[in-house]
Amino acid sequence: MPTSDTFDLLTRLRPDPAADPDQSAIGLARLQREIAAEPPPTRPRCRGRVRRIRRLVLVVAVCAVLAIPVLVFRGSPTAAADLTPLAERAERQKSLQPGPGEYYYRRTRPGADDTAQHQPSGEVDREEWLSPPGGPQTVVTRNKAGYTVLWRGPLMGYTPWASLSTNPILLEAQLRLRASGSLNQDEAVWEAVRNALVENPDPPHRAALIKVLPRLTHVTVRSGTDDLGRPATVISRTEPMRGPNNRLTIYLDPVTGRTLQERRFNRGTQVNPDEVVIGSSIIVEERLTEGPPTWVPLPGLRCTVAESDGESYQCR
Amino acid sequence: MGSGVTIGVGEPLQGVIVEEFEALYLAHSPRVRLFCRRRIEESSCDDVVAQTFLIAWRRREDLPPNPLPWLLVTARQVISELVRRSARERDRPPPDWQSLAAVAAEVTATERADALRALATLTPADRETLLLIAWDGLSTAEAAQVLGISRATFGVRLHRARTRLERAAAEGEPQRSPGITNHTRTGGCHANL
Repeated sequence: MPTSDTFDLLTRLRPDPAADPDQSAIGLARLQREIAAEPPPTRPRCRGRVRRIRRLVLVVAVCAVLAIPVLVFRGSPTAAADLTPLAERAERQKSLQPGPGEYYYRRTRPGADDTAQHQPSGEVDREEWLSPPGGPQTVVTRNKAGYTVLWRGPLMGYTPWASLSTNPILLEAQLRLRASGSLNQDEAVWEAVRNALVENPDPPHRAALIKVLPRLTHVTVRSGTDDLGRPATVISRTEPMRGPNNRLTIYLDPVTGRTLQERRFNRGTQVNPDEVVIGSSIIVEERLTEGPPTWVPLPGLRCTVAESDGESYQCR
Repeated sequence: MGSGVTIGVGEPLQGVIVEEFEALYLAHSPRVRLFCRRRIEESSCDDVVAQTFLIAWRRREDLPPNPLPWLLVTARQVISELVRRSARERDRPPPDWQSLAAVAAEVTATERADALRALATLTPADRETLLLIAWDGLSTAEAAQVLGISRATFGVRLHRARTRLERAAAEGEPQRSPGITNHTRTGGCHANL
């Protein structure tokens, strides 16, 4: 390396922030749509009759557009036939919602073909404690490098399932409304359902979520087993918005409807178009617990505060 | 920003305030996008940029005269939330931030590669400290604001990061310390579902 200041050299490598006109135009159009969809600010009541009528027409039009995919079944009748009995069984299961002083505890580990577990610092084990709604989430991970990382912060649920309907038709409509800014609504709803299913919904919501799945396009259902050999209902969907080769597969317990495993297949990364990246997680244990989550100090380990957006420690 | 004009549903997105906001978007969205691409996959940055500017729109009355640091702070928070809630997206590879570096005529390919290699050996925190100045073109005060620390603390971090960068460049071999990152915490491997 030359003796010149490397930092100054880096400054000369400053990326060109010149905007791609197409990208900017698309981004701006999306922003305008989202701004238009913003709820109106509180303001004095408008007396303009024409304005009220225009608003009414707009609302009706938006509702009509959103209702079309809900009312017109575009999914798979076969998948619906497979998943409806599963949803009904899931609805009769015992809830794992934590009460006061309780935690929902879950332990996961990587699937057999998870790509990242082959990295030197790949994660090998994860424990999570979710307290009742509004409480914190605690996550403890262990990696191959021998580190235990603890993180505690607010639970950032992606799909607020508790505030959504348990009627699958209404639920789908609500999820589509939330995804109204998405370029591929079915994919956005699929992602929302998948997230909600692992965010420990209560049985009625789990049943409704499962019933939404076959109403989406490109969903296939078959029987199989997860990486631990447990019988599973295997639900899969291509995800073109994530990439031409992306496919997410979720494995549900055929009795309880609870998620056993998730596996995302992706061929072609930004660095290497031929690279195959597989993310796979298996839930090996989930239950309600009353004990407090694991936290520092950890016997035999030395912990340091880690730089993080939440409260975090790194221990070894 | 902020003449007090309000835009509601059903009203055309026109007027001075909207034109100003569109100009702000066109001026700063590329920088916000670059900032995002250093942290997460490019495909997620469309969402981050959109969310960042949507928040900016909601807070348009409060935007400072130079909104870039504010936008980067907001983008950082949006990314944090995205990473936390999509911790299950462990299959995403780390972002290819090296490819963002410009190809400067006055810098040879070897110098460029060596500098990027040295930078890659640093911890993410050190790297970000350096790149806020070197690539985002922020002042130390603005960069400190983005990281949510005092200017003095940032100055110390910058000095140390520069020292480590020069040492890494001189030695030409990795000195990575096992610092925690969002990648290792939530996405490096199987992360939480």
